[in-house]
Amino acid sequence: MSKLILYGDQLSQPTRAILFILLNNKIPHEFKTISIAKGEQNTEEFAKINPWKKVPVIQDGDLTLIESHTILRYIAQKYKLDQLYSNTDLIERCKVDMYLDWHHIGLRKPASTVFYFTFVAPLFGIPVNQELLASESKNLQTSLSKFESIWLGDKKFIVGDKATLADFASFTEISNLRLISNDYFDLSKYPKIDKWIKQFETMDGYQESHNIFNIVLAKKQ
Amino acid sequence: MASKLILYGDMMSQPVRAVRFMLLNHKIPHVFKAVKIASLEHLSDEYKRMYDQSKYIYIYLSNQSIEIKLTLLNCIYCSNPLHLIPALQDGDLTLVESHTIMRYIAQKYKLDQLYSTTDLIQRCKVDMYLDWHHLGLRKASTMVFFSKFVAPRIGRAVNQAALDMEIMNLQTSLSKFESIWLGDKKFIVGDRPTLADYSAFTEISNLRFVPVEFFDLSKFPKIDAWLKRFESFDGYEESHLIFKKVLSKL
Ligand SMILES: N[C@@H](CCC(=O)N[C@@H](CS)C(=O)NCC(=O)O)C(=O)O
Ligand SMILES: N[C@@H](CCC(=O)N[C@@H](CS)C(=O)NCC(=O)O)C(=O)O
Repeated sequence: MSKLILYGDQLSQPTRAILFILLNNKIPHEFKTISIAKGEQNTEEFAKINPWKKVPVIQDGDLTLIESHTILRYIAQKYKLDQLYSNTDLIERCKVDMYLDWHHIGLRKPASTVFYFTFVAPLFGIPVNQELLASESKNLQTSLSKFESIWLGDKKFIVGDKATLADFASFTEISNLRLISNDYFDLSKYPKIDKWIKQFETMDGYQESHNIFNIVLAKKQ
Repeated sequence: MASKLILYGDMMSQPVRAVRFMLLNHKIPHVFKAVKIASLEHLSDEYKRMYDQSKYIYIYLSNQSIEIKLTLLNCIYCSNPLHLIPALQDGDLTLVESHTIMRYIAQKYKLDQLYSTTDLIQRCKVDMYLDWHHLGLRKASTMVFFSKFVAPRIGRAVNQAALDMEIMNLQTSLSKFESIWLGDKKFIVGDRPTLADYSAFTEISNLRFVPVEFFDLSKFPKIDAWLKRFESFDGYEESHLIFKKVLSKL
């Protein structure tokens, strides 16, 4: 059997979600860094692997997959990680899919826009579109409160007592916001999210997949 | 399988049309319930029970002889990120999100051509598009549709900075849709339409409502040819009745 190759950047939320799951489930893989800060996703060589010039990407023998949610579903099904995404129960899969499908525009759109304008742009001297930042920042607050009240509710995880693909995808997107200013992301307003986030920090694979993230975070504090 | 599928939606919504089109195309028995809403007070109890929707905003559109009821998006413009329609009920099960709904239907009724129940890699090929769709196409297409079709008719202001960005993104999305997702294939994954095509079809054909300067099909001959393939499919007419009526008024 060929070994999975994951191409990504550990400062990318979807990359971390995949890496975390691979490590958590002890799936043999090789990680190849494509540094976004260095623009490595735009090289001709990488464009041959992914014409969209984005990470994450996985290769498994002849198969190349893009889009983190597709990659997560693939890994869970190939390695029969039923707890993350059931191989046998369609309705259980649908419960995970509902979140994964909502995630893109429901959470990632505002979260990644606010992150970009308040963390990435200042770092690289990129001008900030204030109007857009203001509207996405408002959307982000709504997303987070809906995440807390609707997706989490009184459950331990999104679908119930155990973490599924939905939790890993949302964990890396939401915890990423710790890099930005409290003005835009104040966890004290979301006690259930805060508690939910902490559950991941003791899981196998957390440290290794969040090494670089934690170094960057330490610099902020 | 005693229960009959119930699809809730508005035929002016792209994801609703995608679900309805595939149901009709595959002759899956279902009941379609139009979510007719002019204001929150008029919501049917049945639908109300399904969601906590205190924060949704409904906008009522009226166009001479026909009335179009459009339920508009806070997901993008206002506050509430949880979308209302489409929603599907199958007995006790309630599902939201059109891609989840379509995957469910395809797997439950074993519509393997749309989404294989036996071949993981075939499913992944469909999933890649479906996952790309949200931020790759829909984010830009809905913004342009809202700003250029809906907003002027209801006197709503648009966020110009965001619009300018999405107008540019839309052109990039369409040309990449053509060169990467379609390429020289008949459909996104090959010779036959899958869930990916249904989802993309209703989103892209919806751009017929916006002025040609923002959506010029003559620049995208492969997309044009691909769109035309759907128009002779079973279920197209019925799922696009209202769409075509509105289009003919432009
Ligand atoms: N929907 C995609 C998002 C991928 C994505 O946005 N990747 C970013 C990093 S987080 C990227 O590669 N950006 C580089 C660029 O756009 O140049 C997924 O879930 O995989
Ligand atoms: N990602 C969702 C999008 C659903 C969506 O945006 N629905 C819109 C109509 S196209 C809606 O329900 N709007 C009503 C509202 O937000 O009040 C899907 O694919 O189902």
